[in-house]
Amino acid sequence: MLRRPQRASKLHQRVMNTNSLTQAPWHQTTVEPLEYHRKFLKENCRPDGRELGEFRTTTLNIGSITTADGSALVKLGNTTIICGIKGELAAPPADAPDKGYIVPNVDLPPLCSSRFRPGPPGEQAQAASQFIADVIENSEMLQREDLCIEKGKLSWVLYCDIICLDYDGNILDACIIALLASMKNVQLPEVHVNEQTGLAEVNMKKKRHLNIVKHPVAASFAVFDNSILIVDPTSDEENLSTGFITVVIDEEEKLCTVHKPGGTPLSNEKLQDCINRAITRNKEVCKLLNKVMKSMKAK
Amino acid sequence: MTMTSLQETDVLSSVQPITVHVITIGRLASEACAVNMSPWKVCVPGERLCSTEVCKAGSGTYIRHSFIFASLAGYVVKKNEGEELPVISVARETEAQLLPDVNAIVTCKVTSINSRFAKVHILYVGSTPLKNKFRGTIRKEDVRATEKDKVEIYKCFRPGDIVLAKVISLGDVQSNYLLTTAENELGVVVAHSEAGVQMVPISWCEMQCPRTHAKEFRKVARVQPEYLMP
Amino acid sequence: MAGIELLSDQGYRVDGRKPNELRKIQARMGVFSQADGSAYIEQGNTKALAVVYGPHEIRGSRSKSQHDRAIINCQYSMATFSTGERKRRPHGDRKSSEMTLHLKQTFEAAILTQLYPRSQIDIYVQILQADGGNYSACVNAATLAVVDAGIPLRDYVCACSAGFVEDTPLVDLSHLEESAGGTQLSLAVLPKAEHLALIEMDSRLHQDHLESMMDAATQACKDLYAVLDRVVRDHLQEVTTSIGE
Repeated sequence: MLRRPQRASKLHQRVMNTNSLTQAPWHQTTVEPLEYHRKFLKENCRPDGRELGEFRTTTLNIGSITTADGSALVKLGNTTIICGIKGELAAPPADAPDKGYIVPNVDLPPLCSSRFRPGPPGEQAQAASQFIADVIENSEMLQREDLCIEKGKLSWVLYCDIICLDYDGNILDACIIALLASMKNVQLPEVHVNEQTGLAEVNMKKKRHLNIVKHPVAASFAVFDNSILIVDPTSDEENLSTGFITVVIDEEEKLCTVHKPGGTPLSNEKLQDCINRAITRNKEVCKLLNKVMKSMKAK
Repeated sequence: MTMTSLQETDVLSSVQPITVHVITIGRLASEACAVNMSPWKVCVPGERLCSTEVCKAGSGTYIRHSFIFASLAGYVVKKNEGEELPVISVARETEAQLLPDVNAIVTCKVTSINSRFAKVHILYVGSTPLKNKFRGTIRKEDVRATEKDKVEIYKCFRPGDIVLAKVISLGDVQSNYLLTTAENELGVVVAHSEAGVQMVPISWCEMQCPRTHAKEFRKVARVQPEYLMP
Repeated sequence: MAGIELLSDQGYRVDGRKPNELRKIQARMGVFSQADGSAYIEQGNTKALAVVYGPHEIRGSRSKSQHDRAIINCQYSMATFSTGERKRRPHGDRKSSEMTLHLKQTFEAAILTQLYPRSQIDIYVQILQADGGNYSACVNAATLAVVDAGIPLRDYVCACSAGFVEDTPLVDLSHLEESAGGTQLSLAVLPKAEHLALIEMDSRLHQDHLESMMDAATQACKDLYAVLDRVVRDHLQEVTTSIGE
């Protein structure tokens, strides 16, 4: 059962002390990582001291990149993700003349971890980009009609570029939070289409925020040893786990996306547990987001 | 979970410096007690420490124009050897990345075997863990000192075994590090039986599974009891 | 010439600096957990990140390995949102490849590669916000990252850009000053030894002015060195006190 996090430090201390093998913790992490993790999981805690249902410390910094129209930096433990949004003008798609475009792109460069090589985007980056695109579409966090300036002639294209700076597991959660925060930070200037010339006139003085109607938040889980569910896996835990599941919930407790790419089969109760934990996570993240936005407005 | 509202525009202002492994600072402190040392002084790369007449250059330093310069950012450590000039070196809190050198004892994990050699990943150099795995090879003729040509790799190593070996060559463009286990103290230290249980060594060439009591062949290292992992 | 006055009559630049004044520099080391060494630097509005991995086994083609030294692999990339106009190709275009090569050559001069035969050191630099002086910010960030990784260096590498307007050399150009045309000089030095690691200059310049520009740039690099030195020493103090003696 994934309970609300309590202080796991006492349990953690007990495991560290009783375990003679942990006299040389390096031995265990390199030589027998699975056994090392199992010893902690038996006591319902994890090597970094967290409980099974506890997320890592989340910090958020909005609006630091001034060349982007909206930006946010998210740190989920050691995992660091930065999202920058730039708006450009383009003709709307032929089959939907009153809608704009939202184009997300996730980049996992070799600087974030030694497992990534320089070169074209790998499978993981492309799958993550597609996942984010699906979440934006399914959650309807932004009405694409809002991005239209003049039907059939001109609309906004929002390029959301998400770069991972430090990979320590669970990038999907962090990407969604970064995307949400930077969307709330985006300020687009007013654009009029001049009747006579047909060209767009951009008024940089007047800027308005985007209308974000839904706030989807993701919670990722890893399945260990075919039975134990842990929340917010680190990179080591991801390598040792036998299955993954990501649940995206918006603030009205509606499911936007459930993503389970193969792996160990899960029972219904476990899935329900995940959904419940995701609901509480949504509340936590929205609270954090509101606090940060308020402090920014206060400046 | 902390709810931080950040004042500065400094993007990474909420970051803490990385916590460093406690093991290594213990080493530094004990070194300070054991050896005749001057108080710790901070130095940065490119800083001139002294001339070559006063000291000898140790690790973390380089010589140019008969002066010794620091090449790392850390603490200056001056050790008095006795008869010769004192050795001056720069120590860092975290152990700088070591590369396996010739004649170094390394701990490695077997990844694959075939009839001619065993491929391993080098995990530790001496007692220092490596952050990145280096690849190595143990050839058939380097497994034992005696009867080199009658060796069957299948009866000496299996994938997943932890092996103590010595580096004999850094390899060239074609190959990886070449290792040898042709000594009594080198060979398999930890192995799991086919049942998945850690085995107990019973002789230099056999190990026994405590659960099924099946015996399996390995080239076992003769290790002192206190160094054996329980 | 553009309508903007790069140097006012009182001798002030567009952003209020004196001709030989550097922009405000903030730097931090050891910001990422996965990398062996990392650093983040802000020079005015230019924000750059550098990350170092290594020395480790050579990945990819084994034929690049050198028997007596380490090879240095660099990658320079700019985030797509780093410039005013969205940058379509973050890396792989000509300008980035040129910068990558310059970085590689600069650090081959400074790192003691003979200590790590047959291995590879990776230096990755990412620009998060570009406001002029991209190369300099990269080199400075990379120096701090290499020091953080514990890789032996001959000396720090400090870089600065310089320009020339109305007979006065300007240092640490911002994007506005760079795009106004005119001479631009990028300089990377090893400050203690006063060795030049890299010089690159474009546009025409009378050779009489070259010396004053080089002097101004070298002096700026020395000032930069003082700042970076302070950052490294503070970081060392921080790391020691956080362990406790």
